Amino acid sequence: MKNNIRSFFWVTMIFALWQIVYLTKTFPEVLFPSPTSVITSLLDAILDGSMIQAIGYSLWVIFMGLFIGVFLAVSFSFLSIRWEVFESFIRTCISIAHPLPGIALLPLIILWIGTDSKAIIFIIVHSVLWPLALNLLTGFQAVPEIYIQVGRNIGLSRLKMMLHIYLPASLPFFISGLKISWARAWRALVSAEMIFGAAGGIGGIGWLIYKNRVFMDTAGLFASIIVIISIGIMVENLLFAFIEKKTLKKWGMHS
Amino acid sequence: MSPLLRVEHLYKSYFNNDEKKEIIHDLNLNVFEKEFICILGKSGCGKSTLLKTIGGFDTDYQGIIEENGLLITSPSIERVMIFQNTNQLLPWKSVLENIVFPLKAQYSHFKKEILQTIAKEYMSLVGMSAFADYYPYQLSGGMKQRTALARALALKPSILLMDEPFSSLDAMTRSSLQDLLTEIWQKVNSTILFVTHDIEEAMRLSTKIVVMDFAPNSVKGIIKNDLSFPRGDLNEQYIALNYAITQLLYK
Repeated sequence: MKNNIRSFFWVTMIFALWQIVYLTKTFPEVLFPSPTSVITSLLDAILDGSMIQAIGYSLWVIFMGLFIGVFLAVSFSFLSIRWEVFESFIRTCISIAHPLPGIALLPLIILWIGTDSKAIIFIIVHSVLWPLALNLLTGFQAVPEIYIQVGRNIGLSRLKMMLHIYLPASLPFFISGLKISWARAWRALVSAEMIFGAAGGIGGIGWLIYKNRVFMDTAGLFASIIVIISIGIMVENLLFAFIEKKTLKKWGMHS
Repeated sequence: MSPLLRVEHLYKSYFNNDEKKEIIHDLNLNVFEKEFICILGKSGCGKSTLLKTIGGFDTDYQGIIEENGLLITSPSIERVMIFQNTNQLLPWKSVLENIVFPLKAQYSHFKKEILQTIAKEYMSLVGMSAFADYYPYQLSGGMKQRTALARALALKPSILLMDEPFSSLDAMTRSSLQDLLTEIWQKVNSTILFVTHDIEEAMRLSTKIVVMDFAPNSVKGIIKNDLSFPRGDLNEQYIALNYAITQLLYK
């Protein structure tokens, strides 16, 4: 709570400084809008629905990508536990693909898939899959032997062993992997949208920034940036904190 | 009467950098129904290894281990193991869920309410009813072992395998859990194979004591324990039994 108050204080200070710099008229208004005009522009964009639509679109795309990425990462990790050969294969794939920024794949993806939301989802899956698979593999190896023995003793099938022992036992690794994945996916999404633009008339939040620049709507540009920051903070500080509170903290598994 | 569990000419070795270390040498053991057998011996003499092979966790041995005439090839709920490690409960499940989960794995066609009723019965048997919704990290070592005991008993195994389950607990908790185990063993007529390095524990719990030592003298002797319940009196029989065990152990 104390930290929240402090953060709020600093945010207010930044806005105040911004307003002061604006009032000195050092920079032309078209490049450096006032905080109030940014907030007005933000409210306008929210009220006319364009911002809501852009946020909704971006979140839909990112959750599709996250879902597919998580599914693949979990499946690959399960297969790696089952067959050592597969683990060496997937580890090789990780070392090749993990250091590669998704955005570097863009030209290739445009050629192969095109420029619609499928292409963006592809980049998000790429951003999510490798760090998450890496974390899950580490987590699975760290599962205490005793839980596995208990699982064997009560006659769990392989699948149940994965779902009911390996997965929950490595949850701390899963969640921290998901945090990394989210951060990478969110960055990749905004960048990709700015390059791809809108498909079929609907674009995401990255597209909104791009459009604002084209129309020299600097206030709108700032408004979009504020929205991107806010969503990032909400997911990282609220959503993940909530998930951890409902799982790791509740179970005393916090490392 | 044929034994419930039969171990015949059991040999077990570990290999460490191509060096063979024999752990168990020609061990023979019969376990009959309702027996409470304590396997007593020094640390590292192969007691836990024996229990693991009987449990089916380690099948890399020579010899015969049979349960009801059938070779043991894998772990099964017929032989549920309770470990020394107090962290054998699943931390993401409450006390009640920890007991229900193995039941659900076994009797998937049963209704959840029925399984919960069974679990609650065993929870009350071990005195954990008040802690149904607690998570393992909120429990003391003794409470965790009580829960592990309830989880094992609920599965109605034909043999309960206990690998020094109380050795990491403080003396008072250990003593109350020993009493609880005796009480449960008398009440539910279970067959128990209990590994310990504590002479008094073995004397207090068992009907038969298998004194083990390092290979090749794996079994030094098997002593019947006829002490009457409740146990703990320092009477003549107690002293005689204690003497007999010590003689075997340190001979």
